[in-house]
Amino acid sequence: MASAEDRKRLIYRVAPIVVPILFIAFWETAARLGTHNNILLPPPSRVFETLFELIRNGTLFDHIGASLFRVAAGYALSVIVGVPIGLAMGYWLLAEGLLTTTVNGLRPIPASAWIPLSIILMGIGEQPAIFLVFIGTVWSIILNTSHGVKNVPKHLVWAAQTMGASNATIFTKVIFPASLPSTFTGMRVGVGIAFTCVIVAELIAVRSGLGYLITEARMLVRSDVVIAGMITIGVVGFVLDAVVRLIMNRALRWQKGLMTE
Amino acid sequence: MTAPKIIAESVVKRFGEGSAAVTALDGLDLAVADGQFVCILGPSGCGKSTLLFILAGLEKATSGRIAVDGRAITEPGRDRGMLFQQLALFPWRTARKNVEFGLELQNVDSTTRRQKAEHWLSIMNLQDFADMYPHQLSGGMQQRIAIARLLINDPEILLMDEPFAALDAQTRTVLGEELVRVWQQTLRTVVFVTHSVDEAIFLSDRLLVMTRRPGRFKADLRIDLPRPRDPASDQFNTLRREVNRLIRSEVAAAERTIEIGSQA
Repeated sequence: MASAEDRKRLIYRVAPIVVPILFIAFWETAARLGTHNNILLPPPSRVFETLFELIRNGTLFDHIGASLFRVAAGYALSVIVGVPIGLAMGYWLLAEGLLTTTVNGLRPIPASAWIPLSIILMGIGEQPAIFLVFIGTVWSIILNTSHGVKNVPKHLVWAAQTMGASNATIFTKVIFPASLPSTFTGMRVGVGIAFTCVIVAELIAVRSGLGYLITEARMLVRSDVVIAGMITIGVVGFVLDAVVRLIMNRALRWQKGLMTE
Repeated sequence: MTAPKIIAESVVKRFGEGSAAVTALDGLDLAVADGQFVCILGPSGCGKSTLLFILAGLEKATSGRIAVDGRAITEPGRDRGMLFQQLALFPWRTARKNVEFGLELQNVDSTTRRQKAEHWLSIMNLQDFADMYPHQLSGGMQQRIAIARLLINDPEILLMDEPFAALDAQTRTVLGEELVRVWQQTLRTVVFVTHSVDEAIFLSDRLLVMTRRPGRFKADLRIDLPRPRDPASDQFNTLRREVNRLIRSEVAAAERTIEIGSQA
């Protein structure tokens, strides 16, 4: 007789794939029986065929590369601009006073609402896409960084002061490292937003990338390409998040045990 | 008689302003001789930690004079090392790197830093834990690392704000013994704030009992029991009884004040 432990393990292994398999089987059957137009909703077998074709002829990787480049560029810009602003806002009351209205006023505007203006100002191309990634991610990086600085435990600062540390040293050797976990939280949230932003930008403002792939396929009524593109977007998003999490856990080894996942 | 190491004269500390102002210290005087181990004992909120923060330069007195070796205290300095009630290690640094922190500030080269850190870690019996991060160590170990981090800077005065209060009773006793051992080797001036009568009698040369807020000193006792001290001995018991009697009258007075306050 199977123990409760075995049963648990079996459920963990098998149950998660039951629904996807049933779903794909249902979809395949429905498409083949022709309850729907095969062109508008092709069976999964056709979608995967198209997916492999896109991989084989390299198209898919070109689009992945184009999207990831924009994510990297916009995100890097966001970190370069956002972290210093966040540090300043957390550390100096004057910086916070000067910037708080701007940051909290612009933050509620969704990144997608910036698309028309960025196309008017920058035209169609890389620039609006990179800008959109930047504008979508910079707020969470600024706010989490300044929050991290403000919440550095007082006694860590006292300890450094009573060992003779100057204010500048306290900033670089205590406040900055102590605020990093919060900054990284903002950066991690930012990666997800960045990927969403780049897809949205590519639907409208630029002629390459995964977002462009699916919107172009829609105009050609190639549902198989649209769905293959959606699957790719999901996989790339998942991998991106996993990689970022891995890097950050590495960087914050000292925090293990405090970190909640 | 030699000049005292630490002098505080008519120290007043008020927090807040106007009608909301609270007087934590009201005209407090203190003189501590070089090499003396002083414990300040008092009820919660009597201002004993405030006094320590003023001596450290982390707080400013509202009025009065505070000086070390005749020099007025205006800001924190390496000559006055401090140990806190909170475990104040830097969590992103290993035990060794925590201990080396003060030497880094003085731009000591890495070989010397490492040697000295090894030395102090071994004095605190922590050489095997040098490469661990604080979260991997118990509270007692963390506070021992904090002591090593403090002593490596060779401060002239050690200010201790209930450093063992967050630890369990056994660890507390062991750390007290270690602190006395290190103090006997280095003979630095120590000002140790606590609300534990036993800890105060066990550690100090001189025990100051503080009144409830606003804090003043109510008694100044010399503790000249031979070291290491035995908390079960007759003399220890006699002292404990006397100090407890002093404390109890203070606590009772504080509670009376609260009762009157709450009826109003």
